[in-house]
Amino acid sequence: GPRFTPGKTTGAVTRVPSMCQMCTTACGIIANVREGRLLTIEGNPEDPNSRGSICAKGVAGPSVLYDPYRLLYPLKRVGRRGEGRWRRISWEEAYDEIADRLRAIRESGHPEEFALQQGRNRSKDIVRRFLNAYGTPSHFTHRALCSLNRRAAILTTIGESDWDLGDFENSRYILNFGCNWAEAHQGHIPVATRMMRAREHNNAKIVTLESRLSNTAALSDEWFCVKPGTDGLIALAMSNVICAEGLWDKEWFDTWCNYPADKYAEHVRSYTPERAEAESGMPATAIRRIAREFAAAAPRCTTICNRGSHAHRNGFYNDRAITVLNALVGNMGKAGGWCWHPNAEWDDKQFPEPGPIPPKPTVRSVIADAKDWPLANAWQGREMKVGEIVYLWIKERRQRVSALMTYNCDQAWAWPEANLVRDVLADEELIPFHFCMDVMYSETAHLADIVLPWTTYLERWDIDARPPQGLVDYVGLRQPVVRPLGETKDLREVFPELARRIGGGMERYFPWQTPEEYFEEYFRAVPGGLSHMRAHGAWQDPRKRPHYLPYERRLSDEELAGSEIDEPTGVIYKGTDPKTGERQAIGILINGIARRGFTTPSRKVEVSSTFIAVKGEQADKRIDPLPIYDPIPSHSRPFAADELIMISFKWNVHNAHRTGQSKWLQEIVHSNPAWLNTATAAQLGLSEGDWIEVTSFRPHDPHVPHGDGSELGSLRTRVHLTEGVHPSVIAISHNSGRSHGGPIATNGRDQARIPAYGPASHDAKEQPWWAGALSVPQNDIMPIYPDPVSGQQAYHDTIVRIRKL
Amino acid sequence: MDEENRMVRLGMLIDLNTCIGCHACSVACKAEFDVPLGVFRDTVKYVEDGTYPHATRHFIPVLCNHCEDAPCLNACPTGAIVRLENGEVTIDEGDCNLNRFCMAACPYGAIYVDVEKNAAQKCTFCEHRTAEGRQPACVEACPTKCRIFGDLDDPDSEIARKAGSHPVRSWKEEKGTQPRVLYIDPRNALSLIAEDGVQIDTEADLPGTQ
Repeated sequence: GPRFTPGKTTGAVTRVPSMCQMCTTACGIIANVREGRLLTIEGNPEDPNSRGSICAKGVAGPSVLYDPYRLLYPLKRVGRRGEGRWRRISWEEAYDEIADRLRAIRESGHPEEFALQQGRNRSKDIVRRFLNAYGTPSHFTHRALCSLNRRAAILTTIGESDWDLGDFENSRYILNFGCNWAEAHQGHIPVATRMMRAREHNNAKIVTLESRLSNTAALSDEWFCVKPGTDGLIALAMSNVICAEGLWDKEWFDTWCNYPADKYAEHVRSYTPERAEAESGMPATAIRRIAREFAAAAPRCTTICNRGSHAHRNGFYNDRAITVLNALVGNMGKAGGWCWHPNAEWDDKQFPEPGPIPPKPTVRSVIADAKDWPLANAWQGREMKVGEIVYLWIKERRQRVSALMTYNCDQAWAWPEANLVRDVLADEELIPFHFCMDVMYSETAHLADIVLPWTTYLERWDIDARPPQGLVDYVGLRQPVVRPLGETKDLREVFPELARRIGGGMERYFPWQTPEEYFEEYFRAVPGGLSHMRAHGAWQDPRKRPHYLPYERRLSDEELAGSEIDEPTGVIYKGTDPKTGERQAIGILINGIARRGFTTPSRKVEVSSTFIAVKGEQADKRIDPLPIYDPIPSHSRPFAADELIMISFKWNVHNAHRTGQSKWLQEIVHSNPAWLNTATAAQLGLSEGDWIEVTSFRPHDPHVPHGDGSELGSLRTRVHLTEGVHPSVIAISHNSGRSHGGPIATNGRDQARIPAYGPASHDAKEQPWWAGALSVPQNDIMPIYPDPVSGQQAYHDTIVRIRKL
Repeated sequence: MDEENRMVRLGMLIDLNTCIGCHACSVACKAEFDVPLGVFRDTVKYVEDGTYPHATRHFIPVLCNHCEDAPCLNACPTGAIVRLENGEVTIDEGDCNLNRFCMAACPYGAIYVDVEKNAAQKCTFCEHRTAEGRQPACVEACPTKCRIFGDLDDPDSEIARKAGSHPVRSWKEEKGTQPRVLYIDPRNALSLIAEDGVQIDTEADLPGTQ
C-alpha cells in the first residue's frame, strides 16, 4: 500500500451525536471520537433542521476545544482590576467568594443588584432557574443588538411567532431584504441549504437588496445595492405597484387582514417607485419589475429579511412593511410562501421543564425594564430588553449593580461604545464585583475579579432546538462528546453548587444530583427517553405536520363550547388569559365559520396595530399603527465628500469572540480593512491599502440618548477598494479588533501567559502566520443608537468622516 | 473487460451553481489531516467580477486535480509520487527527498512542504476514507452537496450522470494535464482566478501598524 500518513478518521471511531454551538443555529453534529479525543465533527443527518449539513464554524469545533489559549482553571485577580495579573485558584475558593458576595446582596433585600450579562445562551432553562431562584430580574441579554426589530415587527403583525420561516425549499421566488443567510443569520445552514435546493429543483429566483455585496448577494440571481435604511421604503413602493396594478390577492387580504385592501392601497399611494429610487438608489423600473415578478410567483413566493433591513433606527417600520408585503400577495402560511411556527424551540407542553420551578422575581430592574422603549418588552414572555444601554445606565447610576456575572459574552469588545463598557467594568465603584464565565480569555474576562473556566459546547449538556425551518418542531440534545478539559465546568454544575452555598431556600430548586438525572426527566416524552436522544441527537414527533395555514383551522365544537362572539369584530372569546386577566380570544368568525385565525388582538393579520400605538402612548412616543417609512434623521441632509454611512458586517467563518480563538477560522479571515466603493475612493484620492482615519459621530436625533451629533471616536484602518459596496457607505466587519485572548485571536498582539492556560505550545502549527495583520475594533466607534420605538441597536446608520493619513 | 475487474477512475465534480463559499470543505480538510497553518490541500477562491452596481463574487473550491497527465509525477526524480490503481495521485512520504521539483511542476500550486514530516504533501482524495467506502472529508462536509465524488467511468454513478448531463470543464485546461476535478461553471468563474494556486498568499495581508 501507499506510504503516506492517512487522515485521522480511519479505522474504529466512536460517533457521538450532539448539537453545535459555534453560532446560535444549533445544527445537529456528529463528533468522531477515539480514546477520549475528538478527531473531527460532521453534520447529523437525523437533525430535521440542519439535515446533516454544517458550516466551516461547525467543522472547526476541535480547534476551539483544543485551543492552547483556552481557560482551564479558575483565576482571581491580583493587583488592580484590568491590570492583567492573575492567580490560579481552586473552585472551592471561587465558590466561596462568589457565594458570600451573592448571599450578602440577596440578604440585603435588593436581589436586583445582582445582574447577569449573557451573550448567546443555549442553556436558558438553567440560567432562568438560577436567576429566578435568586430573585433577580437583572437579566441582561444581547437581543437588542441582534434581532429585536424583526421579532417585534412579526409579533405585531401575526402574534403567534416572532420569527418568519419562509418555506424556501418549496418556493419559486425569494425576495431578500438584507439577510446574509449564506454567511450568518440565526438559520444560516438550514436556510442556505433549502435556498440552494429551491434553486436546483424549483428553478427558484433569489433577489437580494443589500448595501454591500455579501456572499448572499453574490449568490443571488439579482443584487440591488441600496442605501442603508431604505428597505422599508422599497417594500412600500413594491406594495404601491402591487396595489396599483391589481397584482394583489385582494380577497385574502380583505378576509384575513384587519385593514381593507383599498385603504392600504391608499396608504401606500405616496410611496411611489420614483420616490423610493430617489432615496434608495434602486431604479424605479427594477422596483416595478421585481414587484410584478414577486406577485406573479404568489403564493409560492416569500420575503426574508434580517439585519440589513432591521438593524436600523427605522428598522421596526422597515420590517413591518416587508411583512405586510407578503399579506398583499396572500402567501402567508402557504406552501412555498411566508410561514412561521409557534414553537421557537421545542414544544414545551410536550417537554415541560422539570420542577420545582421557582417563581419569577417580584422586584423590578430599571435597566431590564428599559421603559423608554415601548416595544422592547411589550410582549409578555418575550421580553427583549435594550442591551446597548446597560452600561450607559450603570454609569448614569440609574440602577445599582453590586455584583455582575458575565456569561458567554464579550461586551467589552462586542458592544457599541465598547470603550464605555470597558470604563464601566473597570470602575470598582460602579461594579464592585465582577465574575466572568467563558471558554476563553476575553476583553471582558480581563476586567473581571474572578474568571471561571467554562466547558465548551462539546463537553456539556443542553436541551435545544431552533425555529424549525421544515415547519415541524423537534427537540435536540447537546451532550458531552469528551470529558471536560482541565478544571472546566458548566453552569449545570456551577449554579446548583452556588445555590446550595447561597442557601436561603434557593437550593431546593436544584434537587437532581447529575445532569443525566435532570435530562432523563426532561426527555421523558421521547420514546426511549434520554437513551434515544444520546444515540440519535434529535427527535421529531412523527404525528406532527408542517404548520401550514394554521389560521384556517376550524374550531371544534368542544373549543366553541362556552365561547362568546363579539358581534362587530367576529372575534370569539372564551375564558380569561391567565397572564393578563383579560378575556381570551380563541378564534374568529370568517364568512360564518369559526376559525382559529391569527393570534393577534383582532385575530387577523394586523396591518394596522392599535396595540403598538397604545404602547407608544404609554411611553410618550408616537408609534404609527401602519407600516410607514421613517427616514433616518442624520441621513436626510446632503453629505460632504468625506462623509459616509458606516455599516458593519459578519464573515461566514466567524461568529462572536469565540471563533477568534479558532486557528482554522482565524487563518481564513483575521483582518478587517474598510470596504470603499472604487468611485468613492477615486473622489477622495484613495488607493488600495491606503491608511485612513475614520471618525464617528453620534446621531443628531432627539429620540436617542445623547443624540447631539457630537464626535464619538476615531480609529485608523486601511481601505479595500471594491465594486461591491454602496458609494455612500464604508463597511467594516466587526469580527476583528480583539486585544486579549492570546496570539491566535489577536493577530499576535496578546502574548500574555495567563495561569489558566494549559502547558504552552511551542508547536509551529499553533503560531499564527498572520501576526501583525490589520485588525481594528469597530465597536469602539459605534454609537449607542437604539431605535426609538423598540430599542434595537442601529448598526448601519452611523455617520463618519474619513481622512487620508 | 467484465464489470468486476473494471478499473475505477475516481474524480470529483464541483457544481459552482450551489457552492456558497462557506469554507466547510477547507476546514474539514484541515481537521482531517491537521494540515499545518499556512498551507492548504483545499481552499475556496473568492473572485470579484463586474462593476458597480452589477458586481458579483464567485466562489471556486480548489484542490489537487489528480491529473491524468500529472506534471508532478513526471517531474519527481525519486519516484515518490505514484498513481494508485484507482487513479489517485499520491506522494509516498518515505521516498520524498524534498527536492521540490513536483512543486515547481504543478500548475495548480497544490503541493506544499510539511516541515514536520520533511516531505511534500497534498490532497490524497482522502484515500484512507474512500478505501473504507466513505466520502472524502471535503465532500462530506459540503453543506449544499455541491461536490460529488465517484467513479467517472461508471455510467450509473452520480458523478458520471451529472457530468454527462451538464457542460463541465476544468481549471487551466490549456495546461493539458487532464484534471479529474471537474466543474460546472455557468458563469465562467474558473478563468477569472488570478491567484495562481491552491496555496493562499500569506503575504497578502495588510500590516496593521503604521
